[in-house]
Amino acid sequence: MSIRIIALALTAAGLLLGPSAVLAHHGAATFDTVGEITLKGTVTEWVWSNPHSILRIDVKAEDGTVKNWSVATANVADLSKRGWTRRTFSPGDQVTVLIQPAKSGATVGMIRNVELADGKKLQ
Amino acid sequence: MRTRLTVAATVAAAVMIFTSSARAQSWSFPGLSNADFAAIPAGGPAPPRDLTGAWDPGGAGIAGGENYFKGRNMAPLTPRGLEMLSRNRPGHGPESAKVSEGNDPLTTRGDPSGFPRIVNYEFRPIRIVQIPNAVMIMYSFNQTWRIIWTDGRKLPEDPDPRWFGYSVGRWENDSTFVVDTVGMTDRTWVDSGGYPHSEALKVQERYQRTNINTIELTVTIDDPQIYTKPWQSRDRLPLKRLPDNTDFLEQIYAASEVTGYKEDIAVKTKTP
Repeated sequence: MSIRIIALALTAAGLLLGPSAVLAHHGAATFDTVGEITLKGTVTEWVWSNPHSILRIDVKAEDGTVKNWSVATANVADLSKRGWTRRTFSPGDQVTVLIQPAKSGATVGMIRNVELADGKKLQ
Repeated sequence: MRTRLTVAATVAAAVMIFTSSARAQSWSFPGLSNADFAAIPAGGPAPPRDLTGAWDPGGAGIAGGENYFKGRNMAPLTPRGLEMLSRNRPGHGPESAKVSEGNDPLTTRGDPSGFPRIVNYEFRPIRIVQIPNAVMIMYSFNQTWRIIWTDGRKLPEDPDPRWFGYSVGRWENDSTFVVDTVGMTDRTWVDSGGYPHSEALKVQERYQRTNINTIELTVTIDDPQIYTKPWQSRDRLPLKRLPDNTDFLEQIYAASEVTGYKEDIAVKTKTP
């Protein structure tokens, strides 16, 4: 009996732990990318949608020019499981985003992870 | 004493599981995490001839990933099947095309998943309702539903093709519900890998309730015009029970959103 109670307690403890690791099921929907780069910039729009949500950010280059990037992440259901919401970003937020940029040279890419202004990280 | 303790412990465990699964979300539950899915116990024996409730196929149900394509034994394609496949440019699986070239009807145009794709890709939480003459399956993905008639009618002989076909079901025994479906439009793919089917496709689903918290689903694809023999796109895929009062997240691949992604991102990734 005591073994059973311990097992139940362990099961309960396991259930109370946080969400599991990332399930990047859309990782296979591919385009040619070149390495990873970090974008630091200002959010202009957060599109909470399917099959991919899209973050738009203004990024200032060293020469002072500003380019608007559109970087994609997963669908609404998978993001919800990982703690993202439609309110994760608001226009004007300062963010740091690790992305895989498109090889085409366009200012688009796939998000690897983000760091919000308050230091919170999401992937 | 021992029995009473066991019963009490079981009830306590069930309460904890249901509380945890819901994650205190009374609205818009997005589906179980892998850890929560794995932690749901078998529970007691299943009630006879009953699939009622909310069910989650978990990560394997979503199935865009490579494990779906590795974990099955697809039959070889016929010449017509190969010809149809050559026109499809999917986003997943061994035939994957670049996203700028993709022509998946669901993810680039916003067509319905159709059947059987609805159980082979983005198979998210479902609700099953049994009424005296039918079983209804309501899919949270694309907020769509099927009716499976159990009133003894025969399948139509020459059906007008539909996105979700025509389905009849019967209980093979107290735990196994068998569904036969015909009359599916060939505009849909079998799964996200771009695998085609003809309008002669017949699909059989076997829902086996193995215990109170689990249904195992096997799906057999039988289309001699396209595949040289029947094959299973799902082989005992487990569906885990959610609390009956779970409200599902609305997850719709709306045409305006999928084409928006294509215009904003996909076409811009094209390389020479």
